Amino acid sequence: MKPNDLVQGTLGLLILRILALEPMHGWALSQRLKQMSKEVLQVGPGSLYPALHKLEQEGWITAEWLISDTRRRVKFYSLTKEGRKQLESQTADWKRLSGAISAIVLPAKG
Amino acid sequence: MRWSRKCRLRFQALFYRSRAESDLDDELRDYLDREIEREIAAGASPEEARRLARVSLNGTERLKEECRDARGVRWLENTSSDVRFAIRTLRKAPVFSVTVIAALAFCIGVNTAIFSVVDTVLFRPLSFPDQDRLVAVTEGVPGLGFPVMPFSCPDYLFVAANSRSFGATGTYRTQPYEISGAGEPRRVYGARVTASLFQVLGVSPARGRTFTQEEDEHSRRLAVLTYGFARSTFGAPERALGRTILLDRTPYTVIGVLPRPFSFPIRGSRFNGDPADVFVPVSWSKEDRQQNINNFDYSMVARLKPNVSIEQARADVHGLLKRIAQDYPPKIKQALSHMPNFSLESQTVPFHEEFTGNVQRPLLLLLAAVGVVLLIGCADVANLMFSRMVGRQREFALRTALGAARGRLARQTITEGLVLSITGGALGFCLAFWTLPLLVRFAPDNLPRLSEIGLNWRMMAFVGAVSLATPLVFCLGPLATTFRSTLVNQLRGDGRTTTQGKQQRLLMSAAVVIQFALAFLLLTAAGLLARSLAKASEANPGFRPEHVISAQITLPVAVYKTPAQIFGFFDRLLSRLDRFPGIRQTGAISDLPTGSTSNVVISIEGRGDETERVDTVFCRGNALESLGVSLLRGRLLRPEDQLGKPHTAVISESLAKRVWPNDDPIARHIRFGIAIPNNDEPWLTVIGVVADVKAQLNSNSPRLIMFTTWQDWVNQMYVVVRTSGDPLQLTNAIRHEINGIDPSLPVQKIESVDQILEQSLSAERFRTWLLICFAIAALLLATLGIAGLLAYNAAQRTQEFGVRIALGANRRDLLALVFQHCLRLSGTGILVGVLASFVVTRALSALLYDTSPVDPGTFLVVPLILTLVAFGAALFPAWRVVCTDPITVLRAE
Repeated sequence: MKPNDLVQGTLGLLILRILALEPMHGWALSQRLKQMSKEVLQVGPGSLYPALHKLEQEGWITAEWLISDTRRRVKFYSLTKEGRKQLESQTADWKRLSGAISAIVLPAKG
Repeated sequence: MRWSRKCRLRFQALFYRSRAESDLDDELRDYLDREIEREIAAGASPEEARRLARVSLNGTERLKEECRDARGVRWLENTSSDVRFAIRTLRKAPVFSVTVIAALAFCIGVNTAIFSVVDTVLFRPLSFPDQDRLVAVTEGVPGLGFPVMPFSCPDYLFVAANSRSFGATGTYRTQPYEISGAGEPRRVYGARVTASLFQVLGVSPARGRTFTQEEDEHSRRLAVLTYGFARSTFGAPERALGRTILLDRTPYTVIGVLPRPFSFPIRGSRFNGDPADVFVPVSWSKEDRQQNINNFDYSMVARLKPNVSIEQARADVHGLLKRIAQDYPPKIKQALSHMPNFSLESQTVPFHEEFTGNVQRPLLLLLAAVGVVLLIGCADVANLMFSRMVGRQREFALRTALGAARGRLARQTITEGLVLSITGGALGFCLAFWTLPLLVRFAPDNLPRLSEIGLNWRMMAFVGAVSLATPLVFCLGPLATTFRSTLVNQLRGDGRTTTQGKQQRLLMSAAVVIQFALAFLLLTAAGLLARSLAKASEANPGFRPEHVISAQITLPVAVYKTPAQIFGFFDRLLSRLDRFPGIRQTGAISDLPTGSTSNVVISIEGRGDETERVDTVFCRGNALESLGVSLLRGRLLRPEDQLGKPHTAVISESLAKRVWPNDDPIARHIRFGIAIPNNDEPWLTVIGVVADVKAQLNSNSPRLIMFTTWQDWVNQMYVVVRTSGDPLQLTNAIRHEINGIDPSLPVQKIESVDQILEQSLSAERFRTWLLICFAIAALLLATLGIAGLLAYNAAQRTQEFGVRIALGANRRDLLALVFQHCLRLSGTGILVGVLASFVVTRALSALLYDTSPVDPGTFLVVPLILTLVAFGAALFPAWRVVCTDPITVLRAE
């Protein structure tokens, strides 16, 4: 399955959800996404980074530059208070929406 | 918090662009490195791992672009680069830029300045609460020649008591007072007002209180001061409270000080138009309330009840005045029964019309004039922009071909326009800021609300709107035309020039024609006003004002109680002055004949009901001889006429012709008042006829005026002195003589009558000079317009001319071509201007003295000026034609 079409609108929500676990950098985020979705969702940097920057602009996530063990500058993203609220409201929206879509797409058995 | 961070991020993104870029690079490099590590860990060779990682990042540039967009400063970045680009482009064309900015700055500047004057005087609401509910009410007796007058006391009281339309009514009357007991004795304007006036206006005192109706009825001597007067007299407003001041040597106690901005009556009002410093109770006597039905002195102002329209109020007052005569005392009622054409009428108008009436027309004229200047300027800027855009068509075509979006191009062009107009607007605002105080300083004294004129938000909005609207109008039009012509045509071109379409040429020519027509209009208006002013300045006032000096003297009624005391003072003063060397004649008159004089009704012996409304001047001593009025028949008034054996009068030629068109007026009899049996005024014998004395230099209407030695008595007179030398040298001597008789009497203005006449034209002079300035500006701008167009055309046709010359064309023929073009444009403009002027200048005729709105001189000179200017504008392109070197042109081909 090429999931990009589906992911497009919900990428922000996914990022917020994953960052809610712990702060991490972009690459780790893409790996975690792949792993958590059991390899179904693969988000390339072309979609990931613009989405991250957009969320940062919105103020829902914040970034911090740290120096890694390999003495590289690494940008760590973490969720802000604002972002946590946003996550809750978007999750609620998602539940409602996905429930509604399921009700139509997956007709009740029997 | 969230917003402030967002702003900070955007701010950083905008101003630390290079840092944001390097951060993005670092972040992507980090991703790449981790991908490579991951691939190696998965078993790929380092080469292969690097390749795979690169592929996963495919299109780094596009990614970066999207990240930049996500930063949300794209728009701002573009704008700032547009602005920088615009400034660079404009600096490459300094003549164009400076011309456009200067034209815009000038137009916006003068428009803002004039607009703010007009706005303050005519449109800005007064500072009284609910001022749109205030109305001014007047009465009038059209049958006797007095259509609009202030109220008489009994009529006011009747209307105030019986009207159903007004929530509150008040009345006021201004008069000069001698003030003493606080600083030097001096003259101030005071107002006698009803207690209700302050409620009507909705003003409460800043300190102390105002007086009550009861205090007014009991004639308590109380005074309320304006803020400015209290401060200048007592140092601080609160220190004024409880102090005693002497008004005409009668003590009044100060009980209140009005708030700082309060100024009343409004200067320039139809009646009682001098702002007062002191307000005292009107304190009518019983006689005032019942008998004085013929003293129309009290301006009435009222506040409409809620839900009552001004029309209803008008009908209400009108009905009341029809009933009013029933309440008059029997003696007066009986007298009125002999007057078939006696009928009281009234007018109720919004309060602001009380003071805008006289100045409205000239101010609107000035506003229209600057509006015309703005139009001409706009046409200039439009044409300049247009020619520039046409010149840049190839550049735009090229940029479009290289992939520039049309929207971006449009934005850049608008930015260019905005840079020009905002610079022009800012400079214009500065110009207005500097010229406004000048305008106020030279404005005529009678302009209402002069002190309130200043920069205000309306004006800011006006400037903003003008400067923002201009680029849209000026850039988008030409740009659209540029876009409409096909790209390929432009790129292909003929290599060097692109010629404009027929439609564009027509549009630009039309703009120049309109400019010329408008400039013609303005020059004509200025010319007519200037001619009228010149004629008015040279007009014969009906007497000889040179070498005459006048001193206004008001004797305080509290001390000079009887006519004998008043006349005693003036007779003593005149006889003292008569002994002075250098003084030829002396006299005293109740009013200078130029200016307002008291209007009275006279009746004529043996003519039944016939009455005339005449201006009356009361004379003492050799007043008429001092003034130098020119005697046509009979003799002038002399001191012995004051004995009243018989009472005598000298009348003006117009009055003589009107009353006795075919007979000799000498030795006829007239008297004050209407022709009723119980008129107890004495008959006056006409002893002389003099030339009309003008009320204003620029008035042409016949003046019915009567000079007489008989009147009840007046406590205010002007001493007029004819001297053999410079009259102003006697100023101190006259002052000394006055104070020799009454040491505490403040002397008001001592002026030469020449000066007074000069000042009487100050309003005309002000508007004429302003209009001349605007007309010159319009002329310059129109010249700029035609010069620009001709130069542009010549530049476009340089090549064509070069080829023609090379092929043997005569340079003289080419020159003729340029001048023909010039003549066609200016000629059409002038023709349109002439036609428009014939219509428009008719509206001016009310402002003109002795000048026809189609004055042939003006209509001859103005086209001449414009034609000369047009030819001047054609010289530069003509010179280019002469200098065209066919070799150079052909080589360029």
